[in-house]
Amino acid sequence: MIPDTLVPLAVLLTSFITGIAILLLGEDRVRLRTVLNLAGAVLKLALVMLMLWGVFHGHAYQTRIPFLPGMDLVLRADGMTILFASLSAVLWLLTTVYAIGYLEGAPHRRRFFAYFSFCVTATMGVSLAGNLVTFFLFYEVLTLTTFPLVVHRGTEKSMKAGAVYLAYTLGGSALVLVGMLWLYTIAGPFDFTETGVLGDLFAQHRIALTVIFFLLMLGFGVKAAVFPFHAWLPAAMVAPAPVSALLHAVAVVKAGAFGMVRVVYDVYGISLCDEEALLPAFMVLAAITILYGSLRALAQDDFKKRLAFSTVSQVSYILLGIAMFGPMGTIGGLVHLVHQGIMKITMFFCAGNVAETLHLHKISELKGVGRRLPLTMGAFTVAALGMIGVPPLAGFVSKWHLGLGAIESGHPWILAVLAASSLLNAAYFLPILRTVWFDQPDTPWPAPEGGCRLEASWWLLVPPLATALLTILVGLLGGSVLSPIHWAYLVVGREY
Amino acid sequence: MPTWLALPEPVHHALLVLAPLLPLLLALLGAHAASARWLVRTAPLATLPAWLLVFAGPAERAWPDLLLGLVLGIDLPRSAWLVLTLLLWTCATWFGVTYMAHDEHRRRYQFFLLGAMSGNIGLILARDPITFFSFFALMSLMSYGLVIHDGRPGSLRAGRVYLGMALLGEMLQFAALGLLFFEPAAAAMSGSGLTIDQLANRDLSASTIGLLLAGFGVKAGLLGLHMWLPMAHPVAPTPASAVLSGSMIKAGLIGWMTFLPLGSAAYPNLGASVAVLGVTGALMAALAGLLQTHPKAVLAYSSVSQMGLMISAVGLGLIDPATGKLTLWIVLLYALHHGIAKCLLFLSVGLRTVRPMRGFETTLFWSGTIFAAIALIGAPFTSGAVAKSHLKYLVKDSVWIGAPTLGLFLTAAAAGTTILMFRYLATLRRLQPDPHHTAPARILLPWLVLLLATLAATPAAAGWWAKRGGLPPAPMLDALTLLLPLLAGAVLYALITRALRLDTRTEPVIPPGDLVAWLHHAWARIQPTRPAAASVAPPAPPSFSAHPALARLARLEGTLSRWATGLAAIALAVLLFAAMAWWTGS
Repeated sequence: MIPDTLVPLAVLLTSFITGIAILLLGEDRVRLRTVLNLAGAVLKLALVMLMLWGVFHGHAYQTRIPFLPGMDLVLRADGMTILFASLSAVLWLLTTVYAIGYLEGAPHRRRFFAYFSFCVTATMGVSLAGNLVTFFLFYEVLTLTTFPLVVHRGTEKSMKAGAVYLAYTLGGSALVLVGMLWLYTIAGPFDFTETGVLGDLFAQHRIALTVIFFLLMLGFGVKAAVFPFHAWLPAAMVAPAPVSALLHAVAVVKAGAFGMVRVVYDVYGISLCDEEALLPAFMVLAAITILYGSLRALAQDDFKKRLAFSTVSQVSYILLGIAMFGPMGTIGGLVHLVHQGIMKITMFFCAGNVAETLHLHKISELKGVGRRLPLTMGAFTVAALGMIGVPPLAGFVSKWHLGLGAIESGHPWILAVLAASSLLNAAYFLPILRTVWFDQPDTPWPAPEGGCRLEASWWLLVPPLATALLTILVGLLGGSVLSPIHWAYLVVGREY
Repeated sequence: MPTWLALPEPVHHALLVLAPLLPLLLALLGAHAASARWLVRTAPLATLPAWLLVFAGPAERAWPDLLLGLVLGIDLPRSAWLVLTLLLWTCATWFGVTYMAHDEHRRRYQFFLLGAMSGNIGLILARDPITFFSFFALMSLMSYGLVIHDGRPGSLRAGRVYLGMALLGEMLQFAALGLLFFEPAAAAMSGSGLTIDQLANRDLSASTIGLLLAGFGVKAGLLGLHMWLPMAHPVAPTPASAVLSGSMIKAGLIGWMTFLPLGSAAYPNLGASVAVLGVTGALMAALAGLLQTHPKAVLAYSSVSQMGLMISAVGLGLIDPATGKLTLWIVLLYALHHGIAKCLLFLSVGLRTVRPMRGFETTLFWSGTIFAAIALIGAPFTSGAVAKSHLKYLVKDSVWIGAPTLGLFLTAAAAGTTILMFRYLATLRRLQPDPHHTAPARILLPWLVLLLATLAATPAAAGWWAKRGGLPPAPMLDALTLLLPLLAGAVLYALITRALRLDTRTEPVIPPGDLVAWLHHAWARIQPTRPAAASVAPPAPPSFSAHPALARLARLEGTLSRWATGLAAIALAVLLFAAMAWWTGS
């Protein structure tokens, strides 16, 4: 058995070592690379599940490494960590499976899978970080390791998109860095603590700490694609489907959102934020982003681009939940961190399948695709209905708690925003479902390659089906101990 | 609720789950091609567990691990709603087995029909708000597939309007249910595990009541929210129209009965507005329905009209708690009467198109159809007379100052129903049989079952609920009161038909969907004219995605990314850093 102090480190190392090993292997060692990838992912999932069990039973997992004088790197698992880490571990395993199928026969797979592993290492670091320095360190590593994935195709368009991505995210990081250093000059070194660490300090440094709050939140907001810092996300659509899936569901946007969660709950403390009226501005910003993203999604004909703008809109639900003062809102926001990931990754898997098997990229070309790819499109349908908020799917559980939070915190206008957003979601997702299932294709679809009995290979089919099933289960088993919503209740119980 | 069929408790509880689940499972199974063929034939059997439940006595069971605390249960009023629902669903799906046998897309039809059935059964059994909401949404979404089944442009437009309004209704319900949790005296902070009994039926705030009324009013065809109904009901395949108009439309009423505090609190203003909206809707729908040319469109408007009467009864119940207690049972009785008759009238339209009849069969068909029509009007010795007597009793019993006037308007609405039924029979007679279809005689069986139900069900239920439930003992109206609207309606019908030459028209004077259709025309007129397309492709439907405002947003977006916002942010950061240095230095 691994001692509790080493578990967080081991979680990081499973993917880091996998990445190094893949780099050392030759480009053509396909089978060994596949085994390594899967073994790493499964091992990590097992470790995260171990932590989940432990945290549930009150274990403390913490790794502390001296870094700078007075500043340690701290890795540890609390309730919020588990929420983010188990999402990442589950989805990484599925995305690895998917990527192996998706990139079959493509060039530069060694580079791809190595950076893929480093990217997940960084994501895990973000979720396990026990203080702001550690968080920032992994947050930056994440930016740098996703860049090669975004530009993986190497085309001019993807290089351009990569440049936009870097400009935005590094700009955001700069804001975070300034805010963080400034905060350290005032508060000294500190670890993330439930209900916050600032306390009385705020009264002494009111203006400075207010400015810092905005610096940190806006800085993290860039990666969370909050309006008006969202333009990099639709541009980054040029990346291969598994990367988009990971970018949108787990790694990048969620790291930003998770950063905001940490700042509000574990640095400033939600009660302080509420007393000092730091939150309403972000509630309005979230509402604007939610509606803006949906409106822009309406106008897209490119399949992945419509999904990208939908992400812009959906990730801000998390911010909305954070910015509402009240347990229900927080629960809604936190659980959406998980739920949005499950649903959105399903959609990107499906978009990838459509692109890979039929070479279709536009929604107007999808007439009758449901007949050719029934399982893929079935999974997509579940995810889309979930996004709209059809009960009892994942998205409904989030929206329901956000709605309760809105009433609880005395902002019933948020209900109107939620309703408008749901109607807009329906307006841009339901036409896809209609054309896919009801329209007749203009020309008959080509038969599956290689006389395959299935619509696509198992590698490409299992991940979307699994995540679609999860979309249903997290809602259907909402009341059970295993559901994300139950964890959200658990975590929030400690923050208020 | 008596127990005719004693079941061991685990079986009984399993039936509670199976009743809504079996249709859903069969729907999913049917998506798999190999099992589809026998599923299409056995669809009516999907109602079987729910039928057993009706006879197995009261039950309630909670599964706290499922959903956000799943509670299912059945009691006397719910078993009554269930009987109505199951009767219509069984007959309509049975009819559909033959009627849809040669349809190209009958698998798809089966999928959506069974899904909607699951929702309709489930929402009656749901005892917690989230489950109710879930089944309601399932039913609404699945019906969309029925509305656009034939894929014609008119059906697609009807589908869009239907879906838009149904989703709007869902949003209003969502807000209403959310507010329920924060009503004063709401149980301790918890988003889950509360049953409807704990939440609703209490003294609720006016805004919650308003949202509940509007949210479920969309489904019930409340005036102003009814436009989807005459568009969507006629375009669906006939068996689906029958359950849409007979059974699913009642889900809105069930929602109100479930959540509104009828009989426990007084809402004079809201109640009065609902009563007025209801009766106004009843009259206006009668007028609009008269001007239709297809019998299904006439029937759809007749449904709006009849729902208007039930809605005004709910309004009376909101005004006065004493009346409120009776409302539930009287509305239930009226819904039973209307549901059966309306379902039969829809199936008659289907029979007329696919079954070539002669001799005795023709006589039977027309006498049965005419009987159901005059039952709906409320002629003496019909189910309508029983239902109407109870409705009048409610009006007489009400303390509301407007009640006598409402009574007069109800009589006028009955005359309106007469006009509609004449119009229905006239359009049905003109309907040409479909030469491609000759359905076998067994298609008559479900129709006959409904005919028997039209004869017997409502009087039997009235007697029974008066004894066992809370139905008040209403004296039967005298023959003159019942015949007056019939005669007045007949005269009016003759006059209007002559004046507007309705007999020779092939296009409806008012398009189905009235307000929406007019708005659509108005919208088309203010749109900048597009250059005519060179091809013969049908004009694209007005779409959000092509709107100029969205193009403007796109340009803004382009500017944003061109400005290299990231670099600007870094510049800002440096400035701030300088500011900080100055600050901490000083």
